[in-house]
Amino acid sequence: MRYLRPTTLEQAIAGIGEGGIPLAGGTVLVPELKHSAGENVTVVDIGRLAALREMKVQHDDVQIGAAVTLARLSAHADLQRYATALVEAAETVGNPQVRRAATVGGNIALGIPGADLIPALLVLDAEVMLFGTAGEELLLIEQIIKNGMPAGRLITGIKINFHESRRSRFRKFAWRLASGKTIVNVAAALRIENGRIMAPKLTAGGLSKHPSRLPLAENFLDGQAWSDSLIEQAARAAAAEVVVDVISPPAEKYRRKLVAAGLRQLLTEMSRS
Amino acid sequence: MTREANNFVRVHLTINGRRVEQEIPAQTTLQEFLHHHLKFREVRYGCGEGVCGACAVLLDGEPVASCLLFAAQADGREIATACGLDNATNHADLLREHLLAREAFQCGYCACGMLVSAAHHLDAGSDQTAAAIRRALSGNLCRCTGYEQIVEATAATFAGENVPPVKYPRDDLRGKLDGSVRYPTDLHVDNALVGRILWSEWPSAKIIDIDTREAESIPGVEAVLTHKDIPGKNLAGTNVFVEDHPLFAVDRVRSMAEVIAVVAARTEIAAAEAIRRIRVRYEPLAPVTDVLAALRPDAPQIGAHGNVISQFTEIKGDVGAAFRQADLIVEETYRCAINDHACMELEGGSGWLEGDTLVLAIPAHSPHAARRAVARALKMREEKIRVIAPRLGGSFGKYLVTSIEGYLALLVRKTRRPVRLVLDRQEALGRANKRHPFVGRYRLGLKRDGIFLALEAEVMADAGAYVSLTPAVISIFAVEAAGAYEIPNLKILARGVLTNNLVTAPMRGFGSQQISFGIECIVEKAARELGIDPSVIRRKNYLTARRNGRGQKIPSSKICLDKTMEAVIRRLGSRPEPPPGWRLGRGLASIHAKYGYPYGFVDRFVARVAVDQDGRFTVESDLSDAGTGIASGMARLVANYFGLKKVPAYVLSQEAVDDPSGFLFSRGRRPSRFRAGLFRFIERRQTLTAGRLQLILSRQKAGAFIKIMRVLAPPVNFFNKSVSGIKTRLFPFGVDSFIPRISGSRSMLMAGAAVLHAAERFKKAALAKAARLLDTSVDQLEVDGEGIHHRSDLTRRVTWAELAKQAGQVGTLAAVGEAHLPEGALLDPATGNQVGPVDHMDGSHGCDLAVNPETGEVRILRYVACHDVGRILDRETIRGQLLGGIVMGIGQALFEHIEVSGGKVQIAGLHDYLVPTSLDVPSGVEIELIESGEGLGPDGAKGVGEAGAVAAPIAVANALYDALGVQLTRIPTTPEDIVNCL
Repeated sequence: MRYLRPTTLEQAIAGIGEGGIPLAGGTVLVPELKHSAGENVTVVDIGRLAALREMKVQHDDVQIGAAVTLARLSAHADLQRYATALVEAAETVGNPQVRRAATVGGNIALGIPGADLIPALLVLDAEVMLFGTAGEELLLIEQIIKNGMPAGRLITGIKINFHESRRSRFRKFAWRLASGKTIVNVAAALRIENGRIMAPKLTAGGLSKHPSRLPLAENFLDGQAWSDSLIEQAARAAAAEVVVDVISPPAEKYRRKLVAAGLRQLLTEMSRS
Repeated sequence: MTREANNFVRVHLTINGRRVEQEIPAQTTLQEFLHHHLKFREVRYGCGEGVCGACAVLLDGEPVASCLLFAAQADGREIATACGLDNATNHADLLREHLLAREAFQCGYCACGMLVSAAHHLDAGSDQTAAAIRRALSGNLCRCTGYEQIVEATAATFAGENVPPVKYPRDDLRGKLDGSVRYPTDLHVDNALVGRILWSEWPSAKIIDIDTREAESIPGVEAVLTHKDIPGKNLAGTNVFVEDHPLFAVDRVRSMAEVIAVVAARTEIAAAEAIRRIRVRYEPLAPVTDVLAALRPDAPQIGAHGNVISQFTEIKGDVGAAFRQADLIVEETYRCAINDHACMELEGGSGWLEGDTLVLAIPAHSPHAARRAVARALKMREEKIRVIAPRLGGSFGKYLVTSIEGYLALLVRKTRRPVRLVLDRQEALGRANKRHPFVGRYRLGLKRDGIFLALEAEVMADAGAYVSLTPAVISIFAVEAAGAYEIPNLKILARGVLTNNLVTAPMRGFGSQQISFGIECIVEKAARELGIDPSVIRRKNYLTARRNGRGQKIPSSKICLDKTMEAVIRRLGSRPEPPPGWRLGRGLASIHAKYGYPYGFVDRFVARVAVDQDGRFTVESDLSDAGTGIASGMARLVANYFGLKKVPAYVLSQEAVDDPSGFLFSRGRRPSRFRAGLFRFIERRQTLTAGRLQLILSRQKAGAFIKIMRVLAPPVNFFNKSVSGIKTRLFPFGVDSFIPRISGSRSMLMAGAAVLHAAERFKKAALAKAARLLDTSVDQLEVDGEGIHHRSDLTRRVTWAELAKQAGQVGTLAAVGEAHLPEGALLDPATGNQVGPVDHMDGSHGCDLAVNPETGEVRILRYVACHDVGRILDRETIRGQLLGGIVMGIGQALFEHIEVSGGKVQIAGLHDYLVPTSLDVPSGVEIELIESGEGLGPDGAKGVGEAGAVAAPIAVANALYDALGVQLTRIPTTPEDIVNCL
């Protein structure tokens, strides 16, 4: 295995263009590569590029560098307030040691069903900042999930708009409370205007290759006032509409129940706060 | 931009203040660099997935898992290991003292990583509540302790509390905390070859052909060995009772645990490549993966002796007649899934040559047994093999049977170079030994008032592909089937059955845990169907007396069990409120479980007490430290016996381990080779005869079996007793050979007796010597902490140091002591039943938990336990053992499960095998101890190592039953099972 540590984004892109694998925290890649990568494998360590390690808060948005660790992210006061779902998602990944190494960009690039940040990023309408030979690009997270990462690009960060009145929450189910493998995760974001739910966004993950939005359930909520029956309807609709195609245990039936239970819990808590 | 040739990188690091610069392969992880290259052995390895935290270090002041980073990623940065915490953090020193005072670690393998996280949290954590500490430590798994004492010590350090005074501090733990002790996988020899194993691809198959030529031609590969390369007998270390388990598969594989070949290569990558290039042609056969399927008449026969390889019965009264009188008969089948020991240290070690001596640093409870197995396979003289096994990073019974030493030894012999062979976590979970899974069909008949009339049960263990130690487990199944209860009519059939699952090894509470689970579940079901309070039905039926291994009746069992249940009920108090929407459940458990062995097999524990010219006492034995506290326990007994101010050092005597005749710990003259060989022969015949008898008798139906046992009882008892007598009297030497030693919670019983015997003999010798020196008679002398003085004239005294100086040329005064298992009968001639283990421990547990009916999540709200420990020799050690056992038991009830499909293990690592983290187990577990003084150990103490793990799964399962109103009949119970049952 060859190890490159570029000092500029351009060098990184050059390395990746030659087939190099971007390496940030390493929590997933290192165990995979340490005893198996052949001589022709190249890793490009982007974990120390200063440009990828910044968190920039402007008055109505935040830019989080791709190499920002989950621990740093979840300690950020503005994010705790305006992007609660993302912070809650980051806090459920692995355990404290893992969160000090694992990065935002890595979680997006993983492309595994249980990547915990994705549902949160989806409900927060996050945009993904990319860098390639053609320069910078900004894509909605949804586009990346749908179409995959464009070739030869590097994730440099994410951008989330702050909405003063938006609330968001995240919940993960795993057999164990630390180092838990995600069975199901759910996220919700919405605004309350004049006692009505506006722009509700719901997602569930861990069920298929990618987490997905839950439009039918969102429709139930949109423009309505909180009530227990409304929450119940939305939770049931979500459980029914979500696509489940992972075949490993637990069974689909149980996973759908968790989607309903998770959203019911999140929405109930949001209705009371 | 860093770019190096040959895939090497130059790395600069500052480690514990020391600057290091080295060129290393780019693929080297930080953990490998620190541990293997730079010899920071405190940076350990348990999973390679960032779950266990044994490799935690501070990277620029923050704890990270060093197994998840390439060393190159840390280039230019600052690292502190557990040994550098005093400079890198502010509270490490005090924290260590608090941890020591609470005996917060046992095997200690996790300690250094845990310390890194805890010390960092004390400096950096904004919240120092117990909950926050648990969260900070949730990336560090501990398999031994249950975390409670670690959390307490961290909280006490934060509060700036004084370290509680301890009469005899656990100095043996100090080295585990300061990083100075070494475990088998730490003994990493420079430039050692990497060993790797090729395992069977199929749970059951014929081997057509093994072709290693391609693998041998890979550059860097130094050896590829198969069954053809064994100079001696092709037998693994598991063959205690029956010699059926080969070291290497020849023409048949019976499980995925079968080894086809081993390789040694210069790099991990070459070794892995060689494994991939060994061509094996199989003819797969349909595997048998379930006990019930293996019992069908048309099932494929796995071993040479049929699928039932062990059988015992327990028959009393007339079950048929009793069932006819019963007002209620409850029936159910209960199961325990496959569990892994999940020791934090991975199975493995190193081997090398010193002159023509083969040295093996491996995990083993019985170094002698491991060496004997190697000598047998390599056809070497035992004197030419040296086994170093001072301690283990966890065992829980796993290393009662061993195997990797055989492969290691063969590779070293072939290559003449040092070899390191360590299984990875996937191999440890998917191939290594497992606990016996259990199936039990129960039928319990009762009167309306809850009095038990009859129990009929067919209880079975899945032995896996070979016999291993299964007969010992089955024997316990039969004897303990009725649990803590007096049931006048019994018909128990216990069987060990071969399948194509992984090979089994004993695991904490072996036999007792599974069988206690079964009886307690059916009792709970009976209570609920009759509408009687579960505590009341238990109390109505508690054993009125227990019988120990000498056949003596001890009448106080009911009193003890009553007391423990009373304590549990009192401490549980009123039922707590569950969170809104959750259901509450309360579960109880009572156990009457073994400590010590069931057989009258005689084996010998030895100890030596010595004092040197500086007045320093040592306690020596050949027992390795698996974290049970036995090392300090033995030393403390000596300190108490003589009233010493300082606890003696415990020393594992390598000389004694090295001496196959066991002469160094003997009272007699050095045995001739012939005499030593005769001893070995007798002992081997004893175990093999027992195994052979089991194989033959297992084919009998229950009725015929018990008749044969009745007939056999007198000759078996006579044979066993005479062999015991012969061994004890004619061969007063010889440490054990095939019978595992530290096991079955018997260490304190046996080693304690040996050390007290040594202390007595030491005292006698010292008094005689002192009497000569002081020119008086022995009865005028008295022992005190500093030496021996005259009763009426305190100035007439001689110190220990002076006595040692007078003790001949060596300048040490020493005495050897020994202990044997009680010489009891094996079988009761009147009934044909077994007499049973040497003794039992009684206890009760209670658990309040909340269940979320929508998600199946479980939170344990309160957990209490009360045990009769006989005598409290050391409260913290006992508490630590019970706490650790409880957490392990909770794990087995709710989380831990080796998922197998078609004989193939489906899980890959500690991400999948769910050892509970600090967040998953209850805090504030209450433990109350009762002292009946009736144990067989020193001062009436009992063994406690397994009891917590035996009772905990029951309390949890019964609490779930209470909360759900439905009994789930299998552990572990997953959230999915819970939701599905509603």
